[in-house]
Amino acid sequence: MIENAYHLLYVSALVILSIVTFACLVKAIAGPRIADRVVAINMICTLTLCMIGILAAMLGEGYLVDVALIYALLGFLAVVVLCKVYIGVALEKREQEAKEAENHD
Amino acid sequence: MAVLFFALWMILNGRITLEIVLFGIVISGLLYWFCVKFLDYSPRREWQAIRLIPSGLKYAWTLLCEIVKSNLAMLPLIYSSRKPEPKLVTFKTPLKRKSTRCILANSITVTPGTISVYLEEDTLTVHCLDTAMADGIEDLEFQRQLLKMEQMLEEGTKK
Amino acid sequence: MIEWIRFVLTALFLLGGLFILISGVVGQYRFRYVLNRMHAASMGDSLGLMLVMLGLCISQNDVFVILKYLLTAAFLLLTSPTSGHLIARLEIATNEHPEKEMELMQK
Repeated sequence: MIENAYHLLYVSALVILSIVTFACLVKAIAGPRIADRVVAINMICTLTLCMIGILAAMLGEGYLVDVALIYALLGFLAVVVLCKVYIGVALEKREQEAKEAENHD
Repeated sequence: MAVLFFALWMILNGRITLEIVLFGIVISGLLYWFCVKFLDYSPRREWQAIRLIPSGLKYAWTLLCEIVKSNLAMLPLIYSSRKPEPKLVTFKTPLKRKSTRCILANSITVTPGTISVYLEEDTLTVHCLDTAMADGIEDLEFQRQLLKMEQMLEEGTKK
Repeated sequence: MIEWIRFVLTALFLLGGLFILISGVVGQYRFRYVLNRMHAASMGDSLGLMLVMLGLCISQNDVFVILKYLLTAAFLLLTSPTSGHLIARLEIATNEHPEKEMELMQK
């Protein structure tokens, strides 16, 4: 009886989370600015973290929580690298524009 | 610090046997030596950190309360049709150490509704979602507690 | 009986966390500008994941698994301000006219 109740709770939570993740993916594809996409990717990372945690509790496998920990690390790393790269690109572009303006004068 | 490493090792292993405990002691000892040798860490600083534990716990509790409060304040903003009024506020902090300033900026970012954008010397630029959140920004509870902790640190270094 | 109390507590925390996460995603669609959307995203990062992990902790028996769950939540609590700060900086760096979207204030 209690196992059935837990199973129902976990499965419904997983279904809700997957629908929400899909909505977030649509946002990541449609986002008009770069920062929009990075925010959506960060959000997807958090949602997947929840999914892995719930899956670990559902299957009763403790080692899946380690996977969640590594996933948190990798998501953080991805966001930091993307931001650094795009900040560098934006600064370069700005510098180039300033140079061109000087040449015009 | 070595105790922390050892606790992390035990948590990641997930069970207690003699082998794991022995390996854990050796590895955490080696890591502690590495920190002292290469990462500019010393037992004296560890002693200071231990003295700060009670106020640190109090700070963590305040942070949790603030997170819950600001989440509850965010919910009506999302579900009501009222347009939020975003603001970019620049203000100066009285904090002197780099580490405490960094903690202040991180605490401001982790509470929903406010995000710190720039931190240069002692000026902090914060993006607030709504006017009510921008009002009390330069006199936060965090800042008062951090000031107290900083004073404790100063006294420690004088002795 | 005590098992059922535990189940109800788990369900409460889990559904509360899910609600916060869902409202974060709803906020992504409701708000018009990136920095406003980020506030909604940081809501899910901080309280949403914490509530879900707490709910799962209540349902588990093994001490080490509980500690691992708490470690994951604490890790995300430590890293999410850094990534949020970087995203905000990226937005300010790429946007040429930030004053169109928000009011600038000096204190």
